[in-house]
Amino acid sequence: MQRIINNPNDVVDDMINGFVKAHKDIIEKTENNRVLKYKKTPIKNKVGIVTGGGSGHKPAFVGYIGENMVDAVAIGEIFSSPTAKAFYDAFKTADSGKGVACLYGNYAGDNMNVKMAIKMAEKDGIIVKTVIANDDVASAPKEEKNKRRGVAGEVLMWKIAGAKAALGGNLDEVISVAQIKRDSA
Amino acid sequence: MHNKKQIDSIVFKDMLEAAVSELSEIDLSKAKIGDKTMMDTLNPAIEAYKTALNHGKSFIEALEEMKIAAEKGKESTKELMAKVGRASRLGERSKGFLDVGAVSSWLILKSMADSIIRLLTNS
Repeated sequence: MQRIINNPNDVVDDMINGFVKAHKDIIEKTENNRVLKYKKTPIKNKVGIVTGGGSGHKPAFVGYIGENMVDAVAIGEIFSSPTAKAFYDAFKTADSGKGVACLYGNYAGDNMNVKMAIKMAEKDGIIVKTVIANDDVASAPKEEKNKRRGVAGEVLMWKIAGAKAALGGNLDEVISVAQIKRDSA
Repeated sequence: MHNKKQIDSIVFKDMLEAAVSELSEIDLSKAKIGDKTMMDTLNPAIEAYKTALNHGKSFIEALEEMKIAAEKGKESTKELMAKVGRASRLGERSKGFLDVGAVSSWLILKSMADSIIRLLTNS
């Protein structure tokens, strides 16, 4: 597959700028240049849906921002976890007072940074609950299921959780449907 | 620590300890020295700082000790095999490269130390 790269150091910034330009009707930048959001976010009385992860493999993750899907995405460098601050800013962006469901993949960096971000958000009174996707059966045996990475199964989580949130589900309900989806992947 | 208006050598020690304990608390994989992570830089650096203070060294001297230990810890990751994170999937192939977490932690500690030393020297 052909790739056109201006300057390797600018790859993520260029990706973000291009993506926002191409999808002006859906996506908006935020104050953090590593957080993008759905135009209408935060949506009153709706649980916020947040995800995040490394760059280099669209449509994950910015491609899933939209109506009844993901509200805000924390963007990492190529194949790197987003920073704790990016996740924290994504939580703040997505929250309208009903809490935030952070649905992300089981990666060491992401786990660490999401946890840090949740602590930061707690200080602001923002409640964040998580569901961690671990559907990549090839990455660990059944007995070590909790070590498995999250891959395509995450998309189903966002779809289901996004729908539940749009229907007015509360945070626990949104988390619950995402978990059911995660466990059946 | 949030209530302190001034950072002295002891407050700085508390800050370093809080950083490591928070990381250990949230880190499911419980990364330790030798796993080829940021802990290979942070743990020895903070121990060196505390040891220096315990031996009666000054704030500046303790920061210098911290820098030396941080650099050593960072360099030690080169020949290690990654046990945690994405690099761990490479197994033997992860040898011969510095760990990015160790390098970025070294940069952070080094910059903090240099800035503080500059402030202390100029005051």
